Amino acid sequence: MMLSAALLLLSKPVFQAPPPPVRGRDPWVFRCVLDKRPRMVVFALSEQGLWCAYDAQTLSFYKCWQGNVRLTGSVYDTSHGPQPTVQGTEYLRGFDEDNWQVFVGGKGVAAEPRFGGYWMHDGRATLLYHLILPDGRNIQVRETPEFSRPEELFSDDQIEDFVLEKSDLCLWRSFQVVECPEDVQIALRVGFKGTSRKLVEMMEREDPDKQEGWLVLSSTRPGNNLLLFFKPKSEVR
Amino acid sequence: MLALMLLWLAQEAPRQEGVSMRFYFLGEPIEELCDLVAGQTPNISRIEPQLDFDTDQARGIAGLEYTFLAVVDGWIEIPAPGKWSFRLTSDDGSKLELDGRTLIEHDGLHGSTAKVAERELSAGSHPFLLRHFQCYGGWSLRLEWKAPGAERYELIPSSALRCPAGEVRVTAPGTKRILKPLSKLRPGSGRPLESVHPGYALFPARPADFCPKVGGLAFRENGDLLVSTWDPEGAVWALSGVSSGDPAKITARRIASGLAEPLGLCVVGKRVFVLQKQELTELIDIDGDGITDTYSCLCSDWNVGPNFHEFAFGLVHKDNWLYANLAIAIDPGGKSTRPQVPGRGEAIRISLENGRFETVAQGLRTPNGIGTGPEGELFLTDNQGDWLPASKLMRLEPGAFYGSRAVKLEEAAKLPVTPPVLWLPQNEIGNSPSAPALIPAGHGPYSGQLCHGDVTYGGVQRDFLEVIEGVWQGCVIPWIQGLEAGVNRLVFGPDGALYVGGIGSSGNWGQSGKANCGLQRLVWQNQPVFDLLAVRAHSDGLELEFTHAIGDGEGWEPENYAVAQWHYEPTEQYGGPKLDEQALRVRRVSVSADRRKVALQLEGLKEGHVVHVRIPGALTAQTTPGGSAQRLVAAEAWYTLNRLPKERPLFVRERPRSEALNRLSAAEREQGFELLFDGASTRGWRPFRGQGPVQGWSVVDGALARTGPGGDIITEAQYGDFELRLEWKVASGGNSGVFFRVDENHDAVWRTGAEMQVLDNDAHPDGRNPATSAGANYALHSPPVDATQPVGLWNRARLVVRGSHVEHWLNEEKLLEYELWSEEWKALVGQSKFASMPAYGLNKTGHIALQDHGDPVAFRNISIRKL
Repeated sequence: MMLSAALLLLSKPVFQAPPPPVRGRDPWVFRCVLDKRPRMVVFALSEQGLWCAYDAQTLSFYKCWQGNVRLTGSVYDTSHGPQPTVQGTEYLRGFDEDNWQVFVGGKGVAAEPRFGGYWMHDGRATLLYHLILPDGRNIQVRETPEFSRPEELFSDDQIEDFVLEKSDLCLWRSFQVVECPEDVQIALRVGFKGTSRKLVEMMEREDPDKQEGWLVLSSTRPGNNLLLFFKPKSEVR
Repeated sequence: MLALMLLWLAQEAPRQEGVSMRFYFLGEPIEELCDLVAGQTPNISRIEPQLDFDTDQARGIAGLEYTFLAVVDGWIEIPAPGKWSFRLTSDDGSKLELDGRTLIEHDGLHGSTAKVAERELSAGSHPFLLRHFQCYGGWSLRLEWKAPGAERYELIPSSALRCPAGEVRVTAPGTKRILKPLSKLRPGSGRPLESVHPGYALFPARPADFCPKVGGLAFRENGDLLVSTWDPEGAVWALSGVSSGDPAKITARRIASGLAEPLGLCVVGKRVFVLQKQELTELIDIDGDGITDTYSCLCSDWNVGPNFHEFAFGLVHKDNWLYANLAIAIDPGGKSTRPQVPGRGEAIRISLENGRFETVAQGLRTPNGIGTGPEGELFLTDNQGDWLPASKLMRLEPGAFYGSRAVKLEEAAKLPVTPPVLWLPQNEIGNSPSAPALIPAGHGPYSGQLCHGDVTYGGVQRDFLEVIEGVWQGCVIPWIQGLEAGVNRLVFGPDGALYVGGIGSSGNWGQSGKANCGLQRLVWQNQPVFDLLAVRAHSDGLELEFTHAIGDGEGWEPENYAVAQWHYEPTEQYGGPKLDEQALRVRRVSVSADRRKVALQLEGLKEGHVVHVRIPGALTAQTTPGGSAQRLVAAEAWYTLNRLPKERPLFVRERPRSEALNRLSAAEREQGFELLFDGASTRGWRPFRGQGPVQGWSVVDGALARTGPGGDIITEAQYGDFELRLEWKVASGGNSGVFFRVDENHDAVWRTGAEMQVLDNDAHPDGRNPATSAGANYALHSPPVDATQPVGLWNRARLVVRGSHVEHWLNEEKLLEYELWSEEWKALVGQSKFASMPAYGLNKTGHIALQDHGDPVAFRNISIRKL
């Protein structure tokens, strides 16, 4: 039975990171214009057609979907004018604005988010974010998006405890903040509208109506895992 | 190849209903289909739903002129297999090819008439090409079909016609040049070059199974060549062994991928930077395995939108900055998009130290190329479009505005426009210029000049630059063609060779007839090649400099040179015509004492104009002692005269009185040549079928000239196998000929002797027929080109006869060769006027004859050697 989205607090990580899946294409991480957004980073996470994309312009999560990217345009199929677009079923949508909050000594400050690129390692890809504080300090945040399934993350008992099903799809967003000063705290706005379950170590100011909340990263909590589970909307091999 | 092989299947380009039609205005009447000089852009380019044109129905196309060539192509979708019939109606001529084979030939001048043809066809797409010309009067063009078993023809519906979708349909104004049966235009003189420069050897620079669409080229310190690819993979490859010239010894390894249209690469020390559409990225290999681990964003601060044309082009490093250019957005038809994202059309630079971004200059459109030139200055190119009447090469000046009003329309109208260093007139010497680069040492006379590639015109052009009173200007000269693809990027390697990266795509983005990918290497062979090296501006004209001394006595006549000038005015129209175009009179010519320079005194030079100099005459040079004379590789240049020098007159030199006329050189004497004309008398010649001195021929200014009626003259001696050399000159409309193996047993030299025609092609009616034009084996074998000098200038002819083998040479060009008494020769004779002359061409020895055709003609420097 699918429960309404409820926060399940985990006091510590209870899963082992599974090996990376077979990717959807080569190259599986690529830059392009996508849905008229010019600075996108696209991940073909799995050969089962699960994708996610980030907007490097706004330093935000764009969406997660199952399907494909229609690669059309002069560099792809010689047509002049069209650009790549998302094709398929959308599972999750992000926010274009107000994604980041930075607190110094408990007070909110206006930080400038800048895209730092991405790092390919161990079969995964990690996005690199910079948050430039008004005092010039540069806080680096990393995010590694990944696709998985409950049976790759948990035991059968855990699957039952967490009210998951083996057919569920999982978007696993893993965050780290690098060398965060003690007086700095970072919060990232995340949404979970469309999920059947989510597992997260720490989320603040959750709004169950809007189905969003804030992940908190600090020197005391440099990492945070957010696992979002979806019921497949179409057959997934 | 060590790289991952991309299994990215090329997607077929999308298609839409209708046919693609391109109209080329000719400005002169033609009587049959002809070929266009390569590399020209149509005047009108559009998609039509069907082929159904009739002037009576007034389905006219705006701006269509009275003489044009139309090229229609696309696919016909055959719904079911069977024998299909086609009916082509046209006024005037047309020709239809289907599946690459001629289906209907309906050429020539005629009214609206139809021709039909049938063909067995399978169901599916069948490519077609329809060429048509119109020459005044009524116009019609209609293509119909009849299905198997049907009774009537019907117009092929648009649902059965397809053409490429979404192409940018580029046009350019002005009359287009055609290749006439006897064209005076030749590669490097009125037509694009066709081959690799003879001073260079061409090698592959890639493995056989790797053909990149090159977006960027840069060498690493270890000699590897990095290549970024403008393709779905968006990759960077490291190629080893490129200097070997052997594809089997070159390896390619993919070191990065997933980049968005990487159109710039730069290596600074050990650091590698790639320019994407939206970002300047450093490729960092953390673990030392050669593969990029981190794609580090150094800068993404410029504005960019989703438009397909918002390219970022680059890269060049200077003083710890990386320089790049940003193209504007355009609509698929080619017009600038409104509004633009702010900051487009700019030359920018990014600090290597901290990624800080700065605007350097503005007002660009499609600036696909930036590079370092003379004196360490940076130069960039821009492509024709709105506010850009022709493509151009500019020097990067901080704060400059180069003219495109796409971004700031109203404000831009008030900004002073920085003129280009060089205009690159559309389709004459440019179309889509790309990266410029300085030619380093080790390239003979070209070292120190600039060069640049071109994606659509193709090849690499050479740019000679000079600074006149603080103003940069100069000329562009044809240099290299014959490459495998249009040139997008080029770089000089550590081995000194020139590496050229090719590219191609749909629409106007590629060189016709070439591949859409390529990577090659050009190595200077250090062999003497006769070329136009530079053109310099003076207060009273232009000075031409050559790589070698031109032939003794050559180049003094103004008729050797054709000079014209015009200017451009940017408007919001796409491209722009030549304005105020006029021919300039060459008032006086001086050839320097070393014969390496020619000074052309010109009337009416104007600042702010492009001056085109072409050498239609056959200037030659003997580049090695005793070697054969060479013609110029490039015989034209386009000089952008931004500033007319005030105090820089041309040198003046009087023509020497004594030139080496009617004398044999030491080499010729060694080869066994003897003079047939001593320059002072008619000794050695007599009237045909006569005795005594010749009549009607006398010595004039060192030449044996026909000065009055007297008949043909022949040599006293007879010759079997020989090489004859002479020079001839006719008056306007003049006709004469040189005959060999003539006997006096018949009443005319032409009853036994074959003739090498002597003629003014332009003014004499025989010049319209190749078989009777200058240099032809009269009435039998035609020369492929008009190799004559402008009338009034001397033409150098050679006739080589050895047994049955005959060669005609004119002005260092071998025009034709044939075999006497062969089946082919017999067949030609049998169809000619000589069929009734049983002795024609059969002698194995005989006299040499010069024809009196009633027109003034002169011969000099006549020598012969027996073979």
